[in-house]
Amino acid sequence: MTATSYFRNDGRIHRYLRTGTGRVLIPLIAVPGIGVVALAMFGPWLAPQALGATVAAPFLPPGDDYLFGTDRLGRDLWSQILYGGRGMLLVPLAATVATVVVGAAAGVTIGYLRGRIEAVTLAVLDLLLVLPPVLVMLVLATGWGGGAPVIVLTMVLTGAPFLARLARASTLEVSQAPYVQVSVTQGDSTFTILRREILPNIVGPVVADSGMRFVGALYLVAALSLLGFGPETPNTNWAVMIRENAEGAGLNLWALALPTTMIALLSISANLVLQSVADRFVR
Amino acid sequence: MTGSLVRTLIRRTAAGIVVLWAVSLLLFLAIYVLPGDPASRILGNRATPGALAEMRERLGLNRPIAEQYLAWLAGILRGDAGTSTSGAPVWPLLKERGANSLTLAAAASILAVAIALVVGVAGGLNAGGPADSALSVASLIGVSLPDFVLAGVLISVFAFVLEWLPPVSFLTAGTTPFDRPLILVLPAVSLAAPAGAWASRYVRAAIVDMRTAPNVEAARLAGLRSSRVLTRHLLPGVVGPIAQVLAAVTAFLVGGAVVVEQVFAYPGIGSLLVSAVTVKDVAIVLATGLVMASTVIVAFTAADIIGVLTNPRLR
Repeated sequence: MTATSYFRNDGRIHRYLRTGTGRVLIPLIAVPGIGVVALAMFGPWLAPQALGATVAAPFLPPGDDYLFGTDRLGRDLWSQILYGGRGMLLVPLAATVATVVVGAAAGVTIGYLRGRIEAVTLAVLDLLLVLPPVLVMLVLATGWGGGAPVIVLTMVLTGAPFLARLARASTLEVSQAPYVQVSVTQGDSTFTILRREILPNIVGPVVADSGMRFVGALYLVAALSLLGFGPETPNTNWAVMIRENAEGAGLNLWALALPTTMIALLSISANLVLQSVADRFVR
Repeated sequence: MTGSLVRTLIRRTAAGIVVLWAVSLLLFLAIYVLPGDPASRILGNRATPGALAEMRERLGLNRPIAEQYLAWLAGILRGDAGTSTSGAPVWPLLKERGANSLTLAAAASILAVAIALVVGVAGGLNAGGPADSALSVASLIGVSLPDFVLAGVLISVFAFVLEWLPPVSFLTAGTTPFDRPLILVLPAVSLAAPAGAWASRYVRAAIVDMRTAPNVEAARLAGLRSSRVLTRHLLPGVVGPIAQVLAAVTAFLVGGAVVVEQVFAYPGIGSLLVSAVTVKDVAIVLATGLVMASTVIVAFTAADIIGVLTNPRLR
């Protein structure tokens, strides 16, 4: 099918990144990145104000009482930022785990079983690979109205095909190796062979690819929230804050700039760090 | 020779059509199995059991799903995409919004291709040098920056600080983007920069690969001028891979357009889809979804055919 030949070229990007030009930049990006991740994880415990509590007039500029001023509903902007980070991290994380598990399991299974199941599954995977993830996400949101399950399912549908192809290719390669053939002739069960001989050998490429899935999921979470299908008030995330506070940027620029900066830092550092992790695993 | 070429081309085109059909089926099934009943959506709080049954009958929701799918597909093929929940036919809306999106997409893809080729070729020809490193870092950051973040930065700088360009890109009724071409600039740049940066890395890799190919080496050793090596021997070899990357750029732009059109309030297919999802207007979701998916499939099929035409080994 159409997309296949393109995605077969994937090794190029890894070879390119190993040239080392990207690595110089990594400490510069990773330090603010770690800061953003720490704020996102521990933020809810550090927030000076309660989640969603209106404390002052809307869109106040930064002052003594409120570090970055207030937002659309007069909530303390800094507190909302501290509450809004966890969802930006945990939802993509959950989506990535689900994608990796489903994709790797499917790939190993079809790579080991071969035959007609493999051919049919590959055709379905190719079909899913051409669908833009944002489109899949919005079709699902039509029925379910948004939320974390829509993100997770979108990622599984559009991301698992990458992992399945990867896991299948690695499995095909490994399953021909002499030590696996020995295991087969010893009469070990299929499950034992998969777990003991094949799984350890595909961990590297799978870990490498899962970083890219996380970055994709991060974009989807932000996009879904930005389009108006994010968490319901009082729950929030940085993309919801961009959407809600854009109108008041003239009164308190931080209301728009701060969540935007947080997403930019998170996205850039996740991209660079995870790409360099990926490089280590790819031969 | 030409016979086998024609056969290959027919086979690739047919494969594209099969995928297109499969996507239409997938889309229809997804909307069908997801929760929510179009009849109750249209009626809203006027939904008495009697009115509901009547509406379901009128919409044909009681018929078997296969029949409903075939009726929808036949409609699409005739240029009839059904009616929206407001009762208006979808097709004229789709045409108008589609034309707007096409205009934006054309501007964005020209820009993205220019970025990808200039950055990719410059980097690939100087692989390992300082210019290459600088371009690589720039493209890596370009890829990492989500399109809506870039849009926000561009709006702040060019609309609010410098006041050169409008912050939103809506169109009043009866006007087209060509009446106010300036509204296209910021959305097109927001779409094109990440896509172009992403594609440039593949273009660079393709150039680096091709530089060491035997025919290019031979041409260089034969003493041909480097510009001639580039245009006659190097670039023709990378047309196929680059076509694939550009098809992926199209997919990138189709997805990105949804978010960027919404951010700029631009009346295109993407923002039409978003508003349809908000009010759960199934006919519009199906039609826009099919348009977006077909665009990507056509692009991949075209790239496939270009690959066959430029690489004799694939025939």
